[in-house]
Amino acid sequence: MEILRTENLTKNFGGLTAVNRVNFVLEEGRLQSIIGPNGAGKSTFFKMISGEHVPSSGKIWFKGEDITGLSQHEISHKGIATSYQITNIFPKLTTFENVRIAVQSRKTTFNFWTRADRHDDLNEKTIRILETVGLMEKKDFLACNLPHGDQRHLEIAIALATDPILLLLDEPTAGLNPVETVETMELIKKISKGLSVILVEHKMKVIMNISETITVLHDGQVIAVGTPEEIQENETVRRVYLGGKRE
Amino acid sequence: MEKTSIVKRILIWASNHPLWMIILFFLIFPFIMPYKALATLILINGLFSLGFNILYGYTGLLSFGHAAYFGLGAYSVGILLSRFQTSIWTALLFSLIVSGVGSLIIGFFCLRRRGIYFALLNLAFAQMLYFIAFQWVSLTGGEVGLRNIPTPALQLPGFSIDIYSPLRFYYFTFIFVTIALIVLKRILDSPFGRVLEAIRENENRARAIGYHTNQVKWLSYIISGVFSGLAGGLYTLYMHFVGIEYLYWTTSGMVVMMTLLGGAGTFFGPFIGAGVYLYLEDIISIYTKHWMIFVGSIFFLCVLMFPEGIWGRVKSRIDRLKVS
Amino acid sequence: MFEIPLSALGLQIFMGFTLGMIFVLLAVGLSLIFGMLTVVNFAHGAFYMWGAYAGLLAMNYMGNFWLALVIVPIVVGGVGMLLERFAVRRLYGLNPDYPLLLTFGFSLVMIEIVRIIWGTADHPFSSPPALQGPINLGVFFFPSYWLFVIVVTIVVLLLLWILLKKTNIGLIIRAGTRDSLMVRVCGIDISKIWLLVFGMGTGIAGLAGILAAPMRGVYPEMGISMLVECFVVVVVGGMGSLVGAIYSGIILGVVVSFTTLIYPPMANIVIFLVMAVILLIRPSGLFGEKGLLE
Repeated sequence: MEILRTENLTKNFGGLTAVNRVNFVLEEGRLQSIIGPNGAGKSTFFKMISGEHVPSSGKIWFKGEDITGLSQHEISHKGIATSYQITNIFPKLTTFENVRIAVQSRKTTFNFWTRADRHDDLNEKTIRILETVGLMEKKDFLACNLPHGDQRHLEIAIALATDPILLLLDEPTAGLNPVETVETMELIKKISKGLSVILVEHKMKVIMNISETITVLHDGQVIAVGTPEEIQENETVRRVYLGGKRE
Repeated sequence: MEKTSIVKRILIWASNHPLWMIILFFLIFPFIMPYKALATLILINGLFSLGFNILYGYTGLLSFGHAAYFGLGAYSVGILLSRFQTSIWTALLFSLIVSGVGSLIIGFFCLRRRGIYFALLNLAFAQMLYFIAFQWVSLTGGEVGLRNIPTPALQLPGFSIDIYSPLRFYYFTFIFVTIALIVLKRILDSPFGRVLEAIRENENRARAIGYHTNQVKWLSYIISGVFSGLAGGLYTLYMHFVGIEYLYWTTSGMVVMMTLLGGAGTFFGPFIGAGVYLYLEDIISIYTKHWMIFVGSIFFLCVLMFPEGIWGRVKSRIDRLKVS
Repeated sequence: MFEIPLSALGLQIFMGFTLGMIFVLLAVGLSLIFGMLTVVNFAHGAFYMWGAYAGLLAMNYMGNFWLALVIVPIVVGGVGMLLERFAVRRLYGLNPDYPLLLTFGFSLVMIEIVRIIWGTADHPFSSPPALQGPINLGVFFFPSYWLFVIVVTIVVLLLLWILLKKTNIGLIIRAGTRDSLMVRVCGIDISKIWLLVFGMGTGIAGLAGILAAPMRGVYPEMGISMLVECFVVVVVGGMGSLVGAIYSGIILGVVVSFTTLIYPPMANIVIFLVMAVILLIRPSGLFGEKGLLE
């Protein structure tokens, strides 16, 4: 079953077309990657799905429902969560609270009379997620004081905390050293079980092992779709992206 | 093994139980202050700053127009007591309602913009209210204001009390402020309060994880307006007078300064800020009427060098104590 | 109420237009500072006010309005540069509320200084003899001073336009970012540009103050009401847009002027109503947010 489909999805910023008639399909339970050089439109593509940008034209279907143009919070409640390329956490809140507040979003907003820290169900779920990403030891640290690698994991934890059906991971290994990159990819493999995942990455090696299907984006357009092997063989991709460019 | 000093232990306990600390402290406050009227003034302005702090310190939204709600609350009480001769209860209830409705409407308009726009839009609307009050002489007394506001006794089941001696009025105000404090503490500790802080820290992400941030901000704005209105109403009872300057930008500026000086985003901060501001004004104006030059400069330096405010600074020291 | 003679109507429109020019000068200065430094100068109105008082001082000591017109913006802009260099600059990169709060505090001090030296009363400021008296423009008579204000504003806007569109510095300012790698690579010290922008913005505010003095009088609070009105202009016109500031400045000037003629009690209130309407139907302002200038 298709979980996500985009049809001729386009985003213009004034004279610049960041995303140009992109057609994309994701089957349920699968992990698909999108690669492309900087400026290819990958983040903009994600932002249209998550509701941060309104598409200039085109449509997005999620579980058969047209979600084009819905607001961010509505889309979050449909079951789509994003983890960001540039760390987007709650700086002066503790690691624990960063995740807990995301967990809380599924339960309540306008509850004024109970104590937030007495919601045991939310606390338990937060602990489980922190254990999954390996941040339990640092749960009382202020998020802004975490080292970069831990902040990237917190990024993912916040997204996970909202019980998503579809997870959008925007360059989760951005700024990580090779050891951290491997760790993070292991984490992603672990959490992707049972979820549908779109992974945007920059580092080719990283996604070759983990993806079943890869979409290559360049200048806002899809230039190739295929298995890792097919992509590596593809002439256009080689010329545009693989040939002599970054890692 | 080091023995933690009594002072340190008290400070840590105080930081963990802010509500009890404040209530206990203000119970004995009038006896520490040089004169009781100053104590009452600090209490009322502390409440005003507390209301403002909900929006600024906890939700992260700076408004330069909170005089609007203080003024709406003040004029409600003033008008009801002078023209309609109602009871104190009715008058105060009205101040809550009117400032609530006012903040609902103005908040709606101002929240259509973000950031610095928001701050100054509030100023614009507050100025509009000021000019309306200025012109609407039959209702507000215009430039002259409402003078000689009646001082009815407080009606309680079975008896009535005259609350207007300095000490009595202080404890009358104290009861209201305590109730306000309990309610606000409840709100800030609740799931809703946590959402406010998430919005302050990263509104975009708060939206992305599913919170309808516009609605939440609006509600926070209204709560902030209502408590500011209560402070205005109490102030009218205290002064027996409502002046047009209650709605002027200087009142908005004052509450901003008090909150920042004391420490935005902390529970004690607003009261400390109110205390420092009013005490300074009191002392300096003995020597010169241009006390604003000093207070303004202190505020200027505060923003430059310790924006976390007095209690913010103290709190981070205490937090370091807790870790050790 | 509707039996207003054409000449009075024309006069009112003209007055509104002139008032609008003052709004425009202020709005342009504010936008300049905001566009490049992302700082809302709450003290902008206070600089305007200092311009008027500096003009008073200059007239007292030199008696020459024309000289004052040149010196005042330079002096006021100089104070602005000091503020930027020693205070505002430290807050770049932090929460944008801080520069607003800082300049607010500074404005309080600026107002109080004026009160200490001159007291709280209104001070009259007369326009130079050469500009007193009306000019006959065919259909009606206009105060020549108002015409002068319009001319000066247009000249300033033109000079600004030339600076921004035709020079390298202008290019940097229009790029709209506070710190650009490109600029540093070109060997230009960006902090000098910050100084220049802040100085220009506040200097233009000071010029507006001395220009407005004969029209609106000189008193300590003149800055804050101007700031609020100027801000309404910017909201209505659209914060990033110079064209918007010009159009909405003039429109609002005329609207205020008309209301003063037709129904004075509403004169102070009407601009807020316009602002509320714009906020409802077009929150980004008449000309949207297209970047700093045009």
